[in-house]
Amino acid sequence: MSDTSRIYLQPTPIRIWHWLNAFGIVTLGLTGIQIRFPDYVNIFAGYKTAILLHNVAGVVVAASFALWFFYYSFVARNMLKLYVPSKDEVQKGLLRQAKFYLLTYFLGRPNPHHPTPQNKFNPMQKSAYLAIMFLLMPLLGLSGILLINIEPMRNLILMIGGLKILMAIHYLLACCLCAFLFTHVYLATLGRTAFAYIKPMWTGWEENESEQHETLDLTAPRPN
Amino acid sequence: MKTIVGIIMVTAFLGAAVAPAAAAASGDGSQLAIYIFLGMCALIIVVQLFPIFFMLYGLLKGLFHGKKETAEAPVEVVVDK
Amino acid sequence: MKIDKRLIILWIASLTLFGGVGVATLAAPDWMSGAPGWAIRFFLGYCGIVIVAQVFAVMGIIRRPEDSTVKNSRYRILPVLLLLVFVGLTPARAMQGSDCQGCHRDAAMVGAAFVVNPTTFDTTAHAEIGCPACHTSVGSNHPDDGLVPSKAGCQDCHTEVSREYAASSHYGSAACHDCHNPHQARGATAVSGHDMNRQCRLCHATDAVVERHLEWLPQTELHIAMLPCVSCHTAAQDNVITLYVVKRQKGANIATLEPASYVELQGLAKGKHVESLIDGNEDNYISLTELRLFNLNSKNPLRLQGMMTPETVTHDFRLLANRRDCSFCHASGPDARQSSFIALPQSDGSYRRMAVERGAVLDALYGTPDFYMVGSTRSKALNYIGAMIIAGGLVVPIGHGTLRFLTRKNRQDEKESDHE
Repeated sequence: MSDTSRIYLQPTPIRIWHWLNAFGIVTLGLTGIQIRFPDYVNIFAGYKTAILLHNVAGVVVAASFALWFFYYSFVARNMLKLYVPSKDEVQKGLLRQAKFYLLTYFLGRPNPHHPTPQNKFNPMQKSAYLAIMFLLMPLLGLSGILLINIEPMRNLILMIGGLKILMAIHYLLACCLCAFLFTHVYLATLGRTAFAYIKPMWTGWEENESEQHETLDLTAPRPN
Repeated sequence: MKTIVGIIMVTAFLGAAVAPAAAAASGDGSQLAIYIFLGMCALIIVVQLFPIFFMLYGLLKGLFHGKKETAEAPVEVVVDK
Repeated sequence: MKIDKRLIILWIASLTLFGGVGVATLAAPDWMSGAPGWAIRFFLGYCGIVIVAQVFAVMGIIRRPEDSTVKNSRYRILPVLLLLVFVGLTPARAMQGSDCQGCHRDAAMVGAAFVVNPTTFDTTAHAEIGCPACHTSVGSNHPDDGLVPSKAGCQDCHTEVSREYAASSHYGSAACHDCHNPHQARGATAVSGHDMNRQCRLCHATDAVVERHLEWLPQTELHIAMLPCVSCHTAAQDNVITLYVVKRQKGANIATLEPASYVELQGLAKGKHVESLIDGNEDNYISLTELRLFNLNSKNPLRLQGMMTPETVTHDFRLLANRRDCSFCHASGPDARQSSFIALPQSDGSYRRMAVERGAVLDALYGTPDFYMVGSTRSKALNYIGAMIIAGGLVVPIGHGTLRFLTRKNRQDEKESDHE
């Protein structure tokens, strides 16, 4: 195993952001179900626990969103390059990637996209993450912040149309995120092995697909 | 440099997240769930920061043991972005 | 002694009129208020004088009318005397409220501390029993007699309530009248939730209350603002959703929404009943259509604000452990929050409720756009939409996963060829 066969794909702040998000969003989803359907679901002992946990997890996810935002826009400074698909990607890349997912994958062909630190996402990922990170997550987070502070932000809530409308926005956006989550987790297992895509998100290092695999030493010190 | 920036950012954001959470969780049994949740979050961060600790440890070791050991210190081979 | 036949007829007619009007006045004390009351009193006095005069005439004390000496009779002043006595006595008998308000409606006459606002008082339950029922010692010479009027104790009538209150944690700190003005007291459903809490704030400042509840209650400010204190701090029962009309005060964009007063609503109703602002067809029932029309009217400066208010109140102020369990209100499911009302202020300071169509608080968007009780007022339509979105997300893992499983051999070949 040589260092050159691996690429350092996910820097530390991004890995922290991702796993805080993962843990936080799952917690938010589970507590959210109990908050909306307390007469059917009682996962966490007591309604108040669910509410407080939902609030805390919401704040953690919002903070980690801010970490993501600041890292990409001020430290790595490649946010737009990573998340905004180019004209070429929209015109050809999307189709090529869709073809892979829907056809060539089943025939056993390799993924046409090879991630690099400057171009991590395939065109479909780019479009999906663009919508999720720049539209869905901010709106979900903002509606959540408003819902935590109903009384102090009453005027703002009324401008949106009222508490019930805010509630509906928050709920439907959360359903969208939940729907994305299933797809996201499933597609993450589409690598050479089920964990081939998940491992880099945890360790930061992605193995080159043409190399021999399963020899990664997780505990080895590595630069950041 | 980026490592240090990363550490500062993580500390700042975690602090910002924990402060209101700790304020919200007081009084009854619900705080336990919140501490477990925050504990898990902290664990994620600490585990993710392990490589940095190891690197710092390697640097310190290198400083104290002279040039012999510095050869073993990891070398940054790939662009970090 | 000869009695004139005409005199007897006059005598019987007068007696009938006097008795009839007297009985009618007693039966309906309201008649004695204002100008009509004085007319009735004069009429009664006149009849009385005629009757007495007839009696005297019959007894032959007064000579026949054709006798010219009657002019000089010392009895000539008798009718005037009788009139004075009668008019003097009438108010004492008819001190049924209206006479009191002759003076007590006016701060200039009795001083601000003793004013009883007739518009507010007249529609209370206490007005039905009248002023003398509680202020028994007030006689015809009031206030010249210099006596301090007596006041009935609340417990004289409200025995059960006083017993309940005596066992509460409030007892000893606040007397009945510290919270209830007997001249304004109304039933629980004729008072707005905001007005109920106004009494509490006389002692318990909002900031201090919020601070106390911050220790354990999520959304503290919201709960304190949107709930009558008695919902949790007494064993009050049968909570319903009551919607009040609130209005942004003029000239302030960031101003809080305050309950709209009767005068404000009357101005907006343009001569119609205030109810017509929401109840378009004036059938005393608010349908979902009427609610949506009201809420969607962008020119409408009014908004609906929902509170959870108790139908029946109690006076056993204490800390109830079960109210700390959020599920007491929140986890009961949508069935528990079906009945709601719209309460509008009336000219007398009370609130009148109109029933709202069942399920209005569950309407997805425009039933009650600014009212949501998490865990109990979710909309079924949104549940289904959300479920469909999530099901859409499951299409990829399930559909793609199935095909992936069926074609797994293709990729195994690939892997093996890699190794070779």
